[in-house]
Amino acid sequence: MDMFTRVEPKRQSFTAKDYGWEDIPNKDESFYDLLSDYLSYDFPVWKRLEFSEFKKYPIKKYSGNFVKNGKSILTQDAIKTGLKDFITGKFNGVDPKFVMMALIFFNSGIFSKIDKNEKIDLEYNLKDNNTIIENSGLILEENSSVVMVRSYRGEGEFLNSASKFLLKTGSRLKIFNVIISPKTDLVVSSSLYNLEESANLEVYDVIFGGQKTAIDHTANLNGDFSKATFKTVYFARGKERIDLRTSLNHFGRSTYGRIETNGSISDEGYSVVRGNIEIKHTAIGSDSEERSNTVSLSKKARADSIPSLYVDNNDVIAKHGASVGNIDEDKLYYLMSRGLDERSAIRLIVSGIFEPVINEIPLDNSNLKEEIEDAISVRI
Amino acid sequence: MTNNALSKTEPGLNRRIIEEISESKNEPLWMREIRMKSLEYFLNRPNPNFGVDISALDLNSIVNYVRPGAQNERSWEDVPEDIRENFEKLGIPQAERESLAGVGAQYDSEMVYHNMKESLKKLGVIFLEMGTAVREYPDLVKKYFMRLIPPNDHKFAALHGAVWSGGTFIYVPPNVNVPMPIQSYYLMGSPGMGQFEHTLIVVDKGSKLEFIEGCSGQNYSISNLHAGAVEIYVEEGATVKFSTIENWAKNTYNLNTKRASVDRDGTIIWISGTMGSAKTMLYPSSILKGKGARAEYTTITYAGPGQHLDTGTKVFHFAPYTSSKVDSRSISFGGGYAFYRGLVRVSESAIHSKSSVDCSALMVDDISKSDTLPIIEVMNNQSEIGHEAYVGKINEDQIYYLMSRGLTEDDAKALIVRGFLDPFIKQLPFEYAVEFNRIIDMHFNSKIG
Repeated sequence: MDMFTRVEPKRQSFTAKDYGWEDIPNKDESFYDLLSDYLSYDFPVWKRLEFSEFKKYPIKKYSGNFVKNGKSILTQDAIKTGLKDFITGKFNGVDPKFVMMALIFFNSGIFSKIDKNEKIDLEYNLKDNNTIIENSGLILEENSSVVMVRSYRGEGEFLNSASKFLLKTGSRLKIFNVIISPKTDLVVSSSLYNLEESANLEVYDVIFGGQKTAIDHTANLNGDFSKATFKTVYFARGKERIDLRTSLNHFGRSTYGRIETNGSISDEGYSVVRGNIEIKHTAIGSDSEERSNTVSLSKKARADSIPSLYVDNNDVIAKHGASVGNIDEDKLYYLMSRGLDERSAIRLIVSGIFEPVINEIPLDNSNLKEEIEDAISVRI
Repeated sequence: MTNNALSKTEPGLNRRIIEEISESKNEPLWMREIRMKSLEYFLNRPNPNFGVDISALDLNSIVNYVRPGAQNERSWEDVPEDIRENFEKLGIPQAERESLAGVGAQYDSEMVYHNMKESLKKLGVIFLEMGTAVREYPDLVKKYFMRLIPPNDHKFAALHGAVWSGGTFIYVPPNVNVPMPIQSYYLMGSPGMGQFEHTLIVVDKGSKLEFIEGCSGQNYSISNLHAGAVEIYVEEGATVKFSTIENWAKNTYNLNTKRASVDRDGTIIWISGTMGSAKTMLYPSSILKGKGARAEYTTITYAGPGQHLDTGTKVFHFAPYTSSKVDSRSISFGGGYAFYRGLVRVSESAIHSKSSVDCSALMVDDISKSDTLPIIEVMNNQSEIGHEAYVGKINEDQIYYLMSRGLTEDDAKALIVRGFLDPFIKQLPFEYAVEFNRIIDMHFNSKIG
């Protein structure tokens, strides 16, 4: 029923010195059209992130090996295969400009078609690679199952990642993204998930830094009975700004969606949590819910919550809830009465925010768990 | 009134039209300057970049000023019969006799009736048609007029500043409890016109006021526009309850601005029902600037066939220990589109503030639409802010239960809808509550009301 038009703010943009053909690490003639499309866009202005200038960080070939486990092939090789259309496929993500940048100027990333069960481990190192541009994607064939653990660590300058996931009928994807790169100027990540019938998606994000971080997850629940769950935890300190957006688009019948975003902010940290739930007219019997909770540890920190529900169908359950507050004083006093000093008590409470996500991380990635725990400790 | 009375302006907007309006009202220079400045802002501002689609609204064809064939009277007897009849039908003169402390009635661009009980005058309460207040209390009006809603706030605030006419001015001196509500009623009777009444309420320290605003209009095939402004100043320890029942005709664009500033320990209570109009954008705002200031909202949006109602609430916590509570409900049916848009901003200095926002939306059928977009911005760590929203349909179990008790399906639906709106209806003056229930019954073909 599109009887009414919803008026929305127009995209604001700015011009900056931009990449060109000579900057493409893996040149391919199929990039001609994409490149001219890319150059026709200016950079987006992000008000809340205060992002209004772009430094043209030099893109070099990726140094080292980021694939630790799994049978996937590097994007630069995959582009020559039948996956080409999938690899060059555009989407909106955080912004079309950054997505297209990743599709053309990538210096890393993997593509794979998976028909059985697989575990994929990717470890990106920002310390040895100042600029990481990732273009990745997976096609999960019917009833396949994938666990993917991706980490981005170290201090670089610029990380831009674009990923696409096609979950065919009955397939399952469990994906972990861990970003620990506090000194990195700009971290941008876009992920698109298309779910067919009865597909099941679980996404876990753990985010510590960069200075400016923009992350977008968009799941299209196209197939009936498809299911998507997002759990994100984050910590923003110093002058870090973080803008997280998770969108669930329900098209199929009896689809299920959950978005849970929890985090903590300290110093002059600033977090923006956006959860969009859109239930289309066709998505009869769908159930979707978004929750977010932010614990603020500092007088100068700022937390914004922007949840939205767009509902075109009355046979649904659609909810959201958000809260922003400081540390629960009762909890704090209880812990201190048990002999903990204030710092340790706060650390314990904040760890509690991260725990539900840390607990899900596979056993063979225990080093990653430890690093996350260290990252929390360092911040309190 | 004046001799150079203007009957109506030509459609559209230019300096000459504004001079005509100002001239006919015998306005002081400072007011004319506000109008001219506003016109400049209006011409330079783009349409809002959110909300309803107003591209079909042709501002050049809107007649911005229409004088009714009547003057501002203090007795209903003196109001011409055809106009009086409209207000009689709404029960205004009767309600005034029985339960109101004062009444203003506006038809098109001017007030045709304005009167208040003698006892309140003795207490120093001022209740005047806005234009009269500009002439009789220029210093008082100048201090507050369009300070809360500056003309360059947005395009329709600018339009309002340029062509405003009619409306109500109320001043309540310190420590006066106005015992009964004061009401203003706005009617639009001419096709293709714009109504731009200005309501300015100043309630001084420790005082209390309840104000009721009603709006309705006749339906025409061409668009009407309503762009009013309400400015409320709640001084230290004062309480204002501002209730609105808006039932504009279905050809009306309702692009209205309402704002209250609340000083130390003051309270603003907004009761707001949006039922009429084709398209509405309305977000009553509370600026909590004094320590301990409070805002409360009980709002409903009732979107039926052909209606796109984009409403919401905005609360700015600027001082410590401020609190806000929002209960916002919407019903969409028959293809109607209800949109809730909210903002709670808690500044760095607003420590120990509390806010809770509850939104619920009931979708009666599968051709209607309901959207919710509440924004929370918190800039300190010593406040507790929470938000909950729920969108859903009428519970079928409840319908079956009521039908097993002998109600028809329509009656059952009407009863459930009324139950959903109960917190709002309870806040209404009796005669409005009755009217509201009647409208629900009509929409659901129910006869139990």
